Amino acid sequence: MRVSLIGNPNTGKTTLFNSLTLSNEHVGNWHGVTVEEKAKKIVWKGQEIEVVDLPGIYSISRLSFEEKVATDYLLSHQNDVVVNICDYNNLERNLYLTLGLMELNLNVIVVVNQIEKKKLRKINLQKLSERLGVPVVAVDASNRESVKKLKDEILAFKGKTSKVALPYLKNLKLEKVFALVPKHIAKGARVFYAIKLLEDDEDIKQQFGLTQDFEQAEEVAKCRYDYIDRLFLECAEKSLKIYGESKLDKILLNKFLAFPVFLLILALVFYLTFFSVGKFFSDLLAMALDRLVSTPILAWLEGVAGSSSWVYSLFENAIFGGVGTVLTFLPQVALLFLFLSILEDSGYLSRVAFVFEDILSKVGLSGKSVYTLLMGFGCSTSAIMTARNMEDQNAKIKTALLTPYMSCSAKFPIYVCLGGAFFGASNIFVIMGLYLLGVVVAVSMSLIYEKTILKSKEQSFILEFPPYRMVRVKQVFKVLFDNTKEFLVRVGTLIIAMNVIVWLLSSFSFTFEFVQASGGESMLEGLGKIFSPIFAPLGFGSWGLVSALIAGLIAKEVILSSIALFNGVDGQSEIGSSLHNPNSAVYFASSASVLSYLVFCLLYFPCLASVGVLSKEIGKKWTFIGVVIELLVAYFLAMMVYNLSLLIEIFGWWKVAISALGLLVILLSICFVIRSVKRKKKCNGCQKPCTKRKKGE
Amino acid sequence: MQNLSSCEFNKYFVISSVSKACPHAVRRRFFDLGFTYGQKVKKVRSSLLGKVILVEIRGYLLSVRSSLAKFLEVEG
Repeated sequence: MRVSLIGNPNTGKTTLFNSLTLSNEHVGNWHGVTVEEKAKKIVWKGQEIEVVDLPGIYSISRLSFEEKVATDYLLSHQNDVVVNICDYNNLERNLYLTLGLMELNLNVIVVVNQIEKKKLRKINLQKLSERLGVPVVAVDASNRESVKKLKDEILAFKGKTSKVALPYLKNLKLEKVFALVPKHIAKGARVFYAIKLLEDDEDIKQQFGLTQDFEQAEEVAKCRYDYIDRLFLECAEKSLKIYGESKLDKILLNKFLAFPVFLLILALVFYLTFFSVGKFFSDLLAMALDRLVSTPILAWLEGVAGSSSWVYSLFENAIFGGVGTVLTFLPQVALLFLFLSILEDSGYLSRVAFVFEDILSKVGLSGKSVYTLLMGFGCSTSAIMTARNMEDQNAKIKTALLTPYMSCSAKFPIYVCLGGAFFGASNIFVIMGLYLLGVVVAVSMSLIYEKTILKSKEQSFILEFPPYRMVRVKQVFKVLFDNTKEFLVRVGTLIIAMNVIVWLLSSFSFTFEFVQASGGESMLEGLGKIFSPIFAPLGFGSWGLVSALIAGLIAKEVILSSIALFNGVDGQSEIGSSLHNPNSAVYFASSASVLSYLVFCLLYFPCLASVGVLSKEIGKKWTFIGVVIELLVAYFLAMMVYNLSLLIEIFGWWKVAISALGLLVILLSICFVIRSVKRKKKCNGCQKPCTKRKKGE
Repeated sequence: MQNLSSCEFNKYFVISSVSKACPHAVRRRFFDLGFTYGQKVKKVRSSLLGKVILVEIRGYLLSVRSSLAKFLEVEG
């Protein structure tokens, strides 16, 4: 039998899906985390049940991407039972969808989710069930016992048809449109289609070949909501509190405090991740790895094969040097993902979207992009997929293309290691600067895209405010465990494989000689030297740095591990000191070139996995354009940073700052002159520069 | 005629209609969310530049772009 889960956005469908099927799908306190259908078969008491999780919707129509997925699924599949999940504290609005499901004559079980302990009011679910004519069950989706009961309920319900009462239908002018519903539509679904016609549903009208205007959408909605109001008058106390309202909003949404508070929260997250807690665990792990794993194994290998053999070199350089260094960042990566998930679960992101809508709508994005871009701090590959629920195609393409500009978790080991070697304690500002640069570049690029090739339409920004939720301890451990596992698997497969390849290419010449023994030129050295002149203007023309960038096209972690490999060192501090040494394969002449290298790493190319997802989500054409633009932006910004920091090194802060300010003033005044000249040309009504021009006055 | 974008803050109004000038899909979304005539509604706050407002309706909160809220016609 097939059971579909359906409900409003953010009512806990995926949480219920996870507990029903013992799965591990991503959930969050945000509108539209699930963007496609997911199915899993389970066996309960000898019965095979296929559970399908669908994206959250408000009604059975095709007004948004999520609704299209869910509606298409409902209309094209045979569903034995439809589990309609409703939020206890927002039941009135949720029942609107329930009525839609009942109009479609589906076998509905209404599941009232009671994740939140705090109930805003008492509702008599028994009575509600009698009035509606369908089972209404209270379930705590995160409680196993409660979910088991629901499974029994589903089994017991199979095959029964409920006696549905929809008294409001008689108030609608259905008879007029019944005749227009084609004969092939099954008897049970005719009411649904007739109502859709009254609602003037473009899709259904097109499907039936109708063009007239029915224009009854308002009446239909009114009838449904009036019916719900009547039900609630009978079955529930009057609600005094507002769902999602919180005193916290007085501060977090305050016009003047909102931005500082947001920046403070982000700063705190990064500080804890990179410096205090994260660094402590990272150092601990590095020490443990060195003492317990690499040193004993290397000592043993030296005894068996000798320190000049290729086996020893493979383990010392590729495995322990390269992979080991990446591995020490595990605590920090896990911590970053944990903080992102806390932000996501807390309900704060909807507020962030609200606060940033002002700015983002100016550059052609929507507040909804905030979610995608913030998740980009974790992993751009999975973040890009969340852009799917944006209404406007161009805004979606833009959001997806901007996500790789964010500093993902694979990039920060490079900042920590390389930056730490040259900037010491003030590296915290370099890292903050790089994160900020990513955001600034993303926003500026959005503006450029908006003004040139990707003009977005006015977006229907309508977003629910979920209540704030406390973080559950269970959830914290789950996120830590999942991300640790994912990171280890990634390091254990892709990163090791890449490192062995890089080691092979850097240890053997084109004639397959082992270069460490013979002292010849390796394959990678030859390759790197071909490309290195291109990067000379950016301040890092050495073959090792360029080869690391090439290897980093696959995955950004490989940049750092390749550098460790080329210099024949392992651990963060050893890499740091080797970078100062002019005799190492990879070395930086000045801190200006380090800065430029970091900027280039931040911006130059989304990893291969991201490119794959990008081309799937937005098509090959836009992916290609986006990647080329990224390469150009990275090149020119890195060059600018290099030259600017060289100037600062030569002339000192003050002189450069003053001349930059002077240049800025000159540029701005030129812009101002051009604008006022343009305005005079366009506006004939009045002689003064006109502010009302937009309104056509 | 007042609309939800121009009306006072923190005062209940009654929706008189959702303007026909509103894009079709958005208009239907408003109906789905409970913006039917006769319904009580309150504007709670707006963002710094006023591009988006927070609306209380049917016991829950919703943020809506001001350019769309102007289609929600209300009476005092």
